[in-house]
Amino acid sequence: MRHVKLYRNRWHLIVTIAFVALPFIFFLIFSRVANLSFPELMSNLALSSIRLFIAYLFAAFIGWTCAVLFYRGKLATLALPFFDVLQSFPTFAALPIAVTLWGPSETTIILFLVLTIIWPIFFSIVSNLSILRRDWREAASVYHLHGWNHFRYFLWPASRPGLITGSIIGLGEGWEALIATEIIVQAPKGLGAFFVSVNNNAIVTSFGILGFLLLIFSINKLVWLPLLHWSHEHLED
Amino acid sequence: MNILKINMSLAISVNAVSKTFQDENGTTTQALRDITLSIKSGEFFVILGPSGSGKSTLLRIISELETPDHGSITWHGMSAEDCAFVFQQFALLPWLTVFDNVGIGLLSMNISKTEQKKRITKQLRTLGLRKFAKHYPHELSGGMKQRVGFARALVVSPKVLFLDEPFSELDTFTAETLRRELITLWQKERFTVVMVTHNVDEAIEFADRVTVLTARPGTVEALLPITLERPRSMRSKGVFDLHDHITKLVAP
Repeated sequence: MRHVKLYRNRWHLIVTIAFVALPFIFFLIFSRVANLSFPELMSNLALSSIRLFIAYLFAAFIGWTCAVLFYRGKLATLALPFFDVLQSFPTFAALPIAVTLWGPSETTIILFLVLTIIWPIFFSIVSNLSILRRDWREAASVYHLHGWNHFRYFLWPASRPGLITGSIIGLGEGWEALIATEIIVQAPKGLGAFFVSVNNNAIVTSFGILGFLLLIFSINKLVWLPLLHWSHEHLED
Repeated sequence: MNILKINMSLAISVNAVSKTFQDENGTTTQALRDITLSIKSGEFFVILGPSGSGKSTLLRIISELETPDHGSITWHGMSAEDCAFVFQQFALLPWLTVFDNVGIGLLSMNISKTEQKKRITKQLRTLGLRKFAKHYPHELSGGMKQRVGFARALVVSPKVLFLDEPFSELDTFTAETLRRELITLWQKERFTVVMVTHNVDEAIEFADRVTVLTARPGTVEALLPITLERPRSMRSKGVFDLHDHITKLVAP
């Protein structure tokens, strides 16, 4: 299988490095001007990113597994409406119960993130798998792709575009839910805590959001868009 | 090659098979009714019929891709595991290279990676695909894609080869070349072939026996042996007569 090309030539490499560096340079200047501690700002950002990353791993694994189990057949007619009802349930409505059970802990934050990220991933993979051509599935069956081979040569590459599209949407929603949850449960560290600490200074808050957007933009440009392009390239016969 | 040289033992029996489909609105359509056939070992068996006669459905039932509502399929001295399938629209997995596509049937076999590579390379050479081993399906023409389809089927050394209108998506010249190569390969290897087509010429060119299906629901209209010597000249009097006869049978 071909590898993802991160850069095509020297110019592209320079732009790539600029994309990596830009948000951090921005945060460095921003922290100096706004009189904030840069290491503290970075540690808040890192902690929030780790929470989001852990939640994403859980959501991607559970979402992918449920999608490949329930995307078609008799199970789908029962499971898909059930999942549809579940996903329309407002996640934040359950927050008081979670806080009562686990307090303002990492578990509560991560659980909320998982509940937010999982649905776009699940439904993107379901929609991706349900439009696969019937004769591809038949070829896999006639040539006895079972077990690990079925996963490696059929299910995984076939579901990859859905996983990537769902991840982009899910993580977008995840960042939003992350900061909101951190603020609601009053997590002592993280981006939520940062925004609470500067919320009476509109300029610092605005520039904080701008830096944050730059970071998300860079991640999308560097990681998700090449992955999306690559996975779709090999889904055309 | 003469039909008399064929081993006459049975390969597959189709016993009173019927199949009905139901669409989303609940409307039912009977695709096949009470089909009984016997396919002999090593013969080239052609299922011919007009559109909607359920011939592809019948092939899919025989190859166990679908289950019949009534009736059964009996395999004699082999199983569906010993078969390979060539699809009308190629059905190559777009995320795999030509090399990997050809090799998917070998993955479930108990053979070493080295042996797999050897067999794939040999098959690619036989079908003129060596230069395209690292290409992806979307980089190939229809004719090349179907060559990959044939290579993927033949690499597993099948006892039975199922062909679902394998030439209908190809242009005339490509189809003609591939037909010639198929007949040469079949005469050499003598696997059993069950082919579906709506093309009378194709049926006459290939078949040891042809079964003609009626339009929906598909039933067996006729079962004709074709004993003409191979290679068959498509311009001979015998072929013309046969063509007229079969065309009358196929026409609704």
